[in-house]
Order: sequence, then C-alpha cells, then structure tokens
Amino acid sequence: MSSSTDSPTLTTETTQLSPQPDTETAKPTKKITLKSSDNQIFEVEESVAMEFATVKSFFEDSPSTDTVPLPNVTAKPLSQVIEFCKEQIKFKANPDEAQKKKYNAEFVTEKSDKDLVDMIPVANYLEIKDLLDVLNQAVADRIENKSVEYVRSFFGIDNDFTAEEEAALRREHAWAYEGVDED
Amino acid sequence: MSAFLPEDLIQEILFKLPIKSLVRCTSLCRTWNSLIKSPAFISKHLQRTISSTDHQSLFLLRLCSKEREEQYSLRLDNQDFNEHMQLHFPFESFKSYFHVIGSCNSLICLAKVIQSCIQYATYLRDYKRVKEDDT
Repeated sequence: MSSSTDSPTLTTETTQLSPQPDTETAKPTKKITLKSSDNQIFEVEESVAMEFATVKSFFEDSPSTDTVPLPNVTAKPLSQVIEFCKEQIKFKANPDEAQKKKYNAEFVTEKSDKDLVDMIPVANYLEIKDLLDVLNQAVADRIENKSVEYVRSFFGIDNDFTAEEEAALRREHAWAYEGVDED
Repeated sequence: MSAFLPEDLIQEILFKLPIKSLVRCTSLCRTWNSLIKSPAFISKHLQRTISSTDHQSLFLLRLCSKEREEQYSLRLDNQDFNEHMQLHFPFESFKSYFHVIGSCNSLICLAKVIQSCIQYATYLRDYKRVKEDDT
C-alpha cells in the first residue's frame, strides 16, 4: 500500500481508495481449531473461541498455536457448547434480550438430562459463565419438584442413610415431601 | 457423591433450588445433608435468592376467630393481598395475640405478652421457643 515512492499525483487517490475493499473482502475470519479428548477436531471462528475464557488465556500464553487441545472435554458436549456460543455472539452484535431468553430456554428444553449434566463440567472448564448459569438453572428446574429417589438417580448418588435415619429426616420436615411430581 | 458431577458444581445447582426442594434434598445422602444445612451454604443461598429475585415485601396477617382460633399467613404486597404462605405453629397466644417484634432474613420474632418469645423460621417452618431470660 505504500505508494510514496510512486508518482506523487496518484498517492492521495490510492491511499484513500484502497483501504476499503481491503477491509471488507480480504480479511477472512480467523479460525481456531479445538481438539476434544476423543480426538475430534472442531474448527470455530475466533470470536466464538474467545467466548471460552480457558481457550482465550491459552492463546494469550501461546499465540502461535493453531490447535487447542481440550483434554477434559468430549466431542458431544463440546459441539453443543459451540452451538450455544455461536448464537450468543449474534446476540452480542445485536442485543435482543427477549430473543436471547427465548433461545436459551429452547436450547435447554430440547436437551436430554444427560446432555445437560454432561455440558456442565465443560461450561465450567471453558469458563462460559452465561452458559453455566443457564445449565444450572435448567437442571434445578428439572429436579425442583421431584422425589428424593428421582434426584438420587439423576445425579447417580447412592443413599448412605440407614432406613431409620431417612425416615426420621422425612418425619422432621414432612411438609417438604408433599406435592411432589411423579417420577 | 455424584457419579456424574463434582461437589462444587452440584452446589451451584443447589443454590438455584427453592427452600422446599432443598429441605427434601437433605435426606438424599449424608454429603448433601451436611452441605445444605451448613451455615455457609444457607447464607450464600439467601444472598443469591435476594439478589436474583425482585425484592418483595410481605405482610404478616393475623386472623383471629371468636373461638380464639388464630391463623397467621404471609401476604404479598399487591392489590389482592394474595397469600404467599400459611404459617403453622403449635402455639396459642393465650389471652391475647402475639406481638410481632421484628423479622430478619425470613425469621419472624413473635412475643407472647412479653413473657416468652418465639422465633419462627418461615421457610423451614421451624420454630424455637426462647425464654424470657434469653430475650
């Protein structure tokens, strides 16, 4: 672009005109490659990858890398997390709280219990606060009115109370066990 | 503990549950029982609940029938004065009604003609009789 050595009459024209097509067409969005623990490769736009605080700081530490290994993350939850973040980028560009709420609600509604639970450690590891918040609320909503037995199996928790201890706890706060949804 | 999630992540989910679910979850397993009953968890849950919901005032309504049957309930500060929850506790005010001494963080302090004092934790539906000496 430096035309100062060329004929001075043209300089003003070229410097004024050339930057425009340059910035619009010649700047392809940078892609970043993420590699899941099960060796799947995900190519995402830089803006999406920068939503992941963990990936962002990885790049700040070693800017020359082109593939970011994510040893704690498997492909399925990662793909869902990427899907979520892509949408959030759009909302960042065009803020629309109502649409965002609607999207977030639909995002979790269509997921299975397992999908939600599998995404939580991923969102936590990648430090995506908004998503973590949405997921925690969605899981809380799913177990809120459920029986103790249901919640145990939801999280894969073993009951380590004796039958007597459990009965005593239930008696102590009997009202809390009323009006529970069917499993 | 959970086969699927570490404790710190489970705790974040529990913070989003209402009190009734949490009380039920105390009988889930020992770890959850001590976690949910711990003062640190309770105060954090309270903090988050206050900051995430519209702060709403509640009225304490006392109904007293001629048969000296008393009913206490919490009412919302709206036009219809809707009921938020009933308070059940096995006390009779005897001769006169309870005085409301004050409330703080869902604790209501009622006094019975200044002789004894009752603290009522609204959401846990627990109560504690406090002697004159303690007050």
